[in-house]
Amino acid sequence: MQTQEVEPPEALRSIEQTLSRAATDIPALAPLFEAFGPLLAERARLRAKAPGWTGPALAIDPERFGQGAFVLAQTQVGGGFEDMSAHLPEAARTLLPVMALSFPAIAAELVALGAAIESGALDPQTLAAIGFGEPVSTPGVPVAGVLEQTLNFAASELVRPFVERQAQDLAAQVNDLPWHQAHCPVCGGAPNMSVLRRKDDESEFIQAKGGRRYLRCACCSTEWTYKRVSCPACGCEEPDELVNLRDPARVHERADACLRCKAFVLCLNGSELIDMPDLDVAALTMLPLEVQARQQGYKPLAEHPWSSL
Amino acid sequence: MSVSRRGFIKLLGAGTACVGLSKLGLNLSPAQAYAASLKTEGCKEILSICPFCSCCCNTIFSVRDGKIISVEGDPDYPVSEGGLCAKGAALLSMHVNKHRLEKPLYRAPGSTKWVEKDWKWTLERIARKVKETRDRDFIAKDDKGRQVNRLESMFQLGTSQMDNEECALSHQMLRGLGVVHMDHQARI
Repeated sequence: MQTQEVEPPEALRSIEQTLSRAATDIPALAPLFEAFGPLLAERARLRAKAPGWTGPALAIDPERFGQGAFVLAQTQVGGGFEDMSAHLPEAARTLLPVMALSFPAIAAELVALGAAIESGALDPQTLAAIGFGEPVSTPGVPVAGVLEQTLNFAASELVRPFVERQAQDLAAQVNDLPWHQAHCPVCGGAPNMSVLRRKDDESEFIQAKGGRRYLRCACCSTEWTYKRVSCPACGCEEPDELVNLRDPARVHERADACLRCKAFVLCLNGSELIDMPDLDVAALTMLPLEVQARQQGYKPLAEHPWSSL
Repeated sequence: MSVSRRGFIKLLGAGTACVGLSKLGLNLSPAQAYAASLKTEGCKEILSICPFCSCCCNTIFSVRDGKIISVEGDPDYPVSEGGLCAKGAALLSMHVNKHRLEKPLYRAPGSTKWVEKDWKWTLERIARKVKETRDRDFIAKDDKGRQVNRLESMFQLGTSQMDNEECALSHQMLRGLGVVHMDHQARI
């Protein structure tokens, strides 16, 4: 049931171009770009090689789907992504060294983690479970010399390319079905990013000028459309209760915030951009805006790995 | 620890593992200083309807400090899906335009100059001209003697800036005067 993988080298090129442009535009964020850029690129490479959804096509009930039952909630075999733990040791061999170079303060822990995976001291299924946020069954940390926070970070980054690749296949099954919810139609996750995209229109007379809003899942990076003048957290559609926070110098980036529920989601207005930036890098570029939104009392629907500046 | 596929669903509530950046060994001072110095502005997006024709395409007005800064089609409106015609796409310039008239201008018959007038003078002159025209040209009966109460020498073209209620009021006034020639820009 796997769909054709079409990402790299386009995805890699987009990451590199967006990073290069962002580093020129905002030199103050260069250390973050240098740290997370290689991680995002390696994730894209792993995603390209990941197997995707290997099982049969899922039987989706359109009626239930329309009522908000996302794809994985409808599976008859357990309700989750397919187990990718068999692929994690190989992924760890390329991803962990990249992370060790990018994040020097935890490099020793990442080396220890890599050694534990290679030796079998940390089995792949446990690693996958940690990546999915499962609590560790034994008290303390399962790998000597590795802090729990580091383990969670590394495991989630290892699992993520496989989740995203499977989600691509699953999303293709429901592309034509209506979905009006604020949670992900594939995995039910919350969005941590949104983007306004203008519809390509070949019409000679009428051009679609408005950019449609797509929310992006924090877990599997699936995108889906969502009503634009509305809050995805509480559903508020009152214009006086919704505000777009933005830097006047970068008007295509904004944080869509709700005065009623105090939630916000980052938004890249790509409707006027010639080249759509890589959305992970774009979200990293918007970190200062995220910080400002938090300082003004708003909370994100979901976080990015770098959200704790 | 065993991992069931059911267990994977727990990911959904967990979201992304967020790591403390300060513990990664990165030089965060420039980024923190940049974030602290950022001055954000608040904008609002307001749904409205294009007034130019009876299609009534939805529009999104972006407003900052009470002033319109951009207008675009509403991509969620199923009829136009964000599309706007040339007139609709130029909605912003109808509201924010240095050429927009803000006071009545009067050009006397035979004159080549426009003179600024106040509204009192303007409305009184329009009312007087309307009455003169009606008194002069009102047709009570046609050539067959039928009662028609008609005024054919006046015409009104409604503007697309008029809403339904204003159009209804204007229509009643014109009918009261006997005017039969009237149209609306939205129909053209």
